[in-house]
Amino acid sequence: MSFDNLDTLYRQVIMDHYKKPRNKGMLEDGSMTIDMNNPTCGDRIRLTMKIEDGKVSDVKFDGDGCSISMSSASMMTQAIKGKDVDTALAMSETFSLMIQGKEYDDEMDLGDIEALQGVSKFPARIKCATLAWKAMEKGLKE
Amino acid sequence: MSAVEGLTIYGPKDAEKRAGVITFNINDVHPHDVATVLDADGIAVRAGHHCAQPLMKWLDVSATARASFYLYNTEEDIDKLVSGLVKTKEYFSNVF
Repeated sequence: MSFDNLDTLYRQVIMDHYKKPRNKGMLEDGSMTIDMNNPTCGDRIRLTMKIEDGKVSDVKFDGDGCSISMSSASMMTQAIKGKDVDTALAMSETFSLMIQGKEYDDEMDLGDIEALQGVSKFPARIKCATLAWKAMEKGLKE
Repeated sequence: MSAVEGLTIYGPKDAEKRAGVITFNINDVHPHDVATVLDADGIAVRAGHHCAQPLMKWLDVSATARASFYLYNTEEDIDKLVSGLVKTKEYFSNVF
């Protein structure tokens, strides 16, 4: 692997989300809280979501981790906010395929998240990218 | 390694009190990102908690990177690590 390949991983939009995370913090009253961590690497996330009329009406995340895990969390909250629960889960499935380098439905608009496509070439980093999504799935399926 | 600006080495500075294992952090770059950049340069380090969460808590850091040396490592390898760390720092100052 050459040094230049790093640019496929650390895309500008990813670093922007890392530096200026969207929806960072915690929602109060009546929202669900999901804590998830990756004990082997130390990344952790606390996701708070408010579900109203089958929609994710609001979502925030707090946590600590590397650029990939935190930018992925930031992009994920941006993507699912205001979406139906079913749509959010479908996005998660598409994301999971994309990040593993498998074929996925590219008709689905994932927005900034598509910048994370390069992660599929870095197997050691896939778990960083999926942490926030696993937390979201866990919350929505409960 | 201690000559690299922005590098924090954990543990005693006295070589007699250490094994050939150096735990460090560099600026605000997360250790996983450090490991990925070094990997691209052909250098393998471990990053994360190292199964030592209480120590991480005590050090008040979320994670660290760790370089382990053994009989087969040469001075050249160390120089390569140092230049890799400088590259890592530069890479992350560019992307930010």
